Amino acid sequence: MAVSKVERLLTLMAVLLEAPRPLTASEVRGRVPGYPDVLSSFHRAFERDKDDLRDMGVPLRMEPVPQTDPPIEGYRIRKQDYYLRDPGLEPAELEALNLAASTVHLEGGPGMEALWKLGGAVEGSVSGVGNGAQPGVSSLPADADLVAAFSGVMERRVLHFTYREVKRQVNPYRLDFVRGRWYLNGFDQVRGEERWYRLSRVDGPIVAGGRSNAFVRPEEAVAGLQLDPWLLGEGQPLRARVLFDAEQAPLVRHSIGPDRIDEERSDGSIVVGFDVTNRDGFRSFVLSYLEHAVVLEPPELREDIVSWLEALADQ
Amino acid sequence: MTSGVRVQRLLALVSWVAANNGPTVAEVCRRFQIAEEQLVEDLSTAMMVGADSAEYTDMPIEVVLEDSRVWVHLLSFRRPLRLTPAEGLALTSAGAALLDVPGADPSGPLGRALAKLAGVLGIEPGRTLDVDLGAVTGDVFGVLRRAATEHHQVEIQSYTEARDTWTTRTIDPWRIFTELGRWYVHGYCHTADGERVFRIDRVRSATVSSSTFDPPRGEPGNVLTFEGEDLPRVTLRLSPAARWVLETYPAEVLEDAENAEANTMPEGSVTVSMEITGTPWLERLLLRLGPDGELTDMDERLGDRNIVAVAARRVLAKYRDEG
Repeated sequence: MAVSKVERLLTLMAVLLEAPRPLTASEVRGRVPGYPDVLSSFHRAFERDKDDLRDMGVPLRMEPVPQTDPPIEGYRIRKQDYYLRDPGLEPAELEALNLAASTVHLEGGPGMEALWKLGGAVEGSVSGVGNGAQPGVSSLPADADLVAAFSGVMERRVLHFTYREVKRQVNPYRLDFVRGRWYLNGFDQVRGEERWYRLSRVDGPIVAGGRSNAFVRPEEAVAGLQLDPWLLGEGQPLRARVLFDAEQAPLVRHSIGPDRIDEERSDGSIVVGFDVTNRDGFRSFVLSYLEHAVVLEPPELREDIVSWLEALADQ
Repeated sequence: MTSGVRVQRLLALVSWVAANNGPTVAEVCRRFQIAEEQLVEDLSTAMMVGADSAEYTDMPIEVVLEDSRVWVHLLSFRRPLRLTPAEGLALTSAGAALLDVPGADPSGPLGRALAKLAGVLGIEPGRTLDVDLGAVTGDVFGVLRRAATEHHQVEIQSYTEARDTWTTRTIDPWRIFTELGRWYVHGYCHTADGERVFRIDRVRSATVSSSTFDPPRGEPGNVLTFEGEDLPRVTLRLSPAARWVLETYPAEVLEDAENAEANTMPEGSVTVSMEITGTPWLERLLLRLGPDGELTDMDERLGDRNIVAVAARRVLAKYRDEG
């Protein structure tokens, strides 16, 4: 009976995984049944199999075979690279991961392979996959560049990409998804600065360097990305108090949470405190509430908005 | 299913069976979403590995199928293949996203699973990747989610930004979803008598009613486009400092420094045409832009041409009242 492709791939993996040293292509041909007899056809089939292994994420290495002169390239899979360490998930934890994966999809992301590796689907949690009527399904945008960025973060590989027309070499530390967009934090080796990059603004591909563990992560955690417009500045913050009228108060309560409310007035309006480091951002935020928000203090921020409005009122 | 995916499933499956002391065939099929016939075929293939090879005295994968149970003994492939970066990213971001949903417990099973997963991936939980799906606080979100799950109608009070008004509506909440960092509820609005989408952070109260509804079948369409509506347009000239408008709202660039007639526009500024959903929305945009945006043309349906000055005076009046 002809050897199936699945069987041939499995045997190839077993042979390379168990080999004590790298194997040459002709050794592979001798040990793995199912390849064509004609040499050129064997090479084509072997190339395709190598591609399949790489697509699966199998860490196939090419190394010179010992005691060959001139050196011949051989193939091997090192066990320490191949095997998944057992995370030791409890059934409830595996179920939680199943639920997460069935609720939030990464666009174009892998299917069930990751969950199979961790112990498979758990009853009751994945039945709703792809069912649009299921409440609470969402998707996150993703592409090959995001995966490359994550591989850099995960395997500590240096990332190479162009941002604002400058070529960067970045030690990637952290990825954040905020307001519908992915951002990467890292240290640019060329410019000597740590900063955030918006992935949608990267020109061309993101390429992860070949060497893993190429840098050490900072000891202190990189703080999450801060996008509140009034906080996008440096220096000593100014404490501002803003009055929101009764009509808009519920929305403000929603978006900032109940903790930041300084004062609840009897007419339903509320006063909220803000630490302001960026005046332009603060003004823009407050004006987006039209006449439903008024800056009470400090006088300088209040005056800032009043004079801005007066200039517009005179037009 | 490609050979590669089949191989991955088979290897994950045999290592799970090997570690779980003779599970039933039915259990294996459920876990690995495989039909029994296919399972038997894949296991037979696995048993063949190494059969033709002189290298092996012991077979790398031994399988025993008996009484609807299955045992596996492994000499090779004892653990599944490590997670690829794409797989690690998919699980980590899905988990982080769900932990961001109001009511999630970071020390619960999901939080613990993510911490263990982070250990395997070599990243630090909570320090390496974060997903913020948008700000909503618990109460309204919880009510809507429960109502969507249990197919109950709800009465909501929601704010329409474009018209700066509040309305009370009865809706059938079909589903809750996120898009571009905001949460929405999509469903049938009985008040408007049509399919509608509402931003959850613009809903100030939600009350579950005892009436139930039948959810629609099939995949939802892309509900966030409002094609076909004849919305009024404006033309705006934006200075370089106002380019954020282009990245935030749908805008059609009519002219920029490159295609403008010689030297009529400063470097980096653009002229755009935008659809406007309501006068208050335009007022907001113009007040925020100030000198960085100039209204050069406006559909008369949006009102008076001196819209900015009128809005600025209205807000200034509030400053005189308060303080």
